[in-house]
Amino acid sequence: MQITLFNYACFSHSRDIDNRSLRQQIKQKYAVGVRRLDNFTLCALAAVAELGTSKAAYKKLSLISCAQYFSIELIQQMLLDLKQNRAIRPLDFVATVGNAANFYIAKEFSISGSNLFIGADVDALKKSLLLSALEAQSDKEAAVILLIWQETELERVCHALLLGDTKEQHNSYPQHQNLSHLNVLATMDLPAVLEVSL
Amino acid sequence: MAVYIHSSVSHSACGNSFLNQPLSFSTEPNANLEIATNIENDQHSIHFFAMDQVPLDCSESRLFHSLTTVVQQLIEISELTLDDLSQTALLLGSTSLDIGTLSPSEDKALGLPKIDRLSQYLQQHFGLHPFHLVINTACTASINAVAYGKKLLEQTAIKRVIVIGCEFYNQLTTAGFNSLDLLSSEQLLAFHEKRQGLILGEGIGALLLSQTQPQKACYRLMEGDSACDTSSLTMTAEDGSHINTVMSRAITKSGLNASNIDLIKVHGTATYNNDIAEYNALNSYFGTPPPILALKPFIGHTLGACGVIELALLDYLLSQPTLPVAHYVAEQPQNIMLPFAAADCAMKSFEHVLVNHCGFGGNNAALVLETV
Repeated sequence: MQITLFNYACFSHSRDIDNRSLRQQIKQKYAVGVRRLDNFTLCALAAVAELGTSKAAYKKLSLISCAQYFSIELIQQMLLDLKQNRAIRPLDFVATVGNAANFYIAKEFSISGSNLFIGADVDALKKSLLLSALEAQSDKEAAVILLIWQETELERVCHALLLGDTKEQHNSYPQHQNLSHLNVLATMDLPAVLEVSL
Repeated sequence: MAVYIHSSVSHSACGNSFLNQPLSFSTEPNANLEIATNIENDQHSIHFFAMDQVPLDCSESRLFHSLTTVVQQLIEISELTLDDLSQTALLLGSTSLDIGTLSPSEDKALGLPKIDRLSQYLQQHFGLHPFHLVINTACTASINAVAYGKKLLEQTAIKRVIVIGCEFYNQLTTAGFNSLDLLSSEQLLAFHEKRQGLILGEGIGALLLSQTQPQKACYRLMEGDSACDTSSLTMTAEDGSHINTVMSRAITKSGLNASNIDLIKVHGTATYNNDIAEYNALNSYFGTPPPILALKPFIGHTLGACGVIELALLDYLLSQPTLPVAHYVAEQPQNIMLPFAAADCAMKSFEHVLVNHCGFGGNNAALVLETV
């Protein structure tokens, strides 16, 4: 199965940065709505903003996002509130739903197609590319924005890929097989055709 | 290429469908939970639909034992060999996953397990194909897992897909829904004009999707659709316009039109806004909607698991002569907003069934089933 990668961008932030600073930074740089958003969502929002305006060229956009962890800061805070018998705030609770980040991204960038938040650790790139390819095959007019978060104790990175169905005219693009490392994406000549297998 | 629900198991407040006894469809919640209110030291009681015959707690052993048991039961009735299992992918849909088993960590860097902990455990425990993942799109999580499981079978070399929907009792979910004022203190009265809200439930549903048609009445998965309504994080557009779009796309992609749908398995949470939105969507799309079937009055709202648990219940009902219809429907017909299917109808008499699900984060999903 093949899928064409049209564009790639990423955004990273230190785990030490406080929410307010990150919100200001992203608002200033990308002029996107950041009110009440947690760092997990902000990181993805910035990555999609980095992808640029080329996504506007597609008839329909779908969003698939893939993470190893939920928004760690939010979940930890909620668990702590619960342990200390502090009242759960409704909006904080709703924000812990995995696809809350997808909601804000879809709203900001007018994404009206399928919208999926998945959890995968081992082979996250392979699995999420396969789901993106399934999506692109089902709707050949749609482009897919694929987001993949990577977390370490020091840093959070969100990779954003703009993908679409591979068409005959893409034969001239460079081809890549068995892509398993996200860091390769930054050095790739784009557009490129990715071979996706199980 | 046809994809079937080959076999299924559900374990909910109705019982475990694998066991040799009929499921019990009662609208009386089987558990009461004490929950802290915002007032210091004050607690109040809420209803809950717990898994039948499984003492209620938040332990890891309860979660892993009940999940493993249901998947083992599915493997047994599906007669899958070790070789079959190694070619079987796993998709798991859930909202709260294992959150009830977690404690807050002082280390805020990476103090939580990974999202795919449960699917990874099942993949390793049963020797499944390495393709496993978790779908987490609130209340549409496991119905989305079914839709992508179908695509996996149609477009890749995967031979079978196990789809799990699971939700387990936990304090964060109950406190969170309580804070949103969405819980009913009485019953879950889906599509009743005087509904008070939802009652949470837990359960596990397991489906085996396959291109092999089983030797019994079953469902063929037709087409589905899923999209994000960005009008609000917590509710879909009250005019039903987004649900309408998703439903109509699912039906059209299935090569059908409104007049072909014989039954709608509604989402029917019994919250004021959700039922209004679904009511408006059904009326605007169908004009006169076909009969509906609501399952949450019997199992509660099992959140991300509801897609698969309710499909497993529909699969179970195919072998039954009657349908479960909550008693309030017959007792107060003047207050019922949509026509419910009659209890004396057999599930297998409905050729095309539309399945609707809506969720937080604006996710709406619909899937069409064909009885074969």
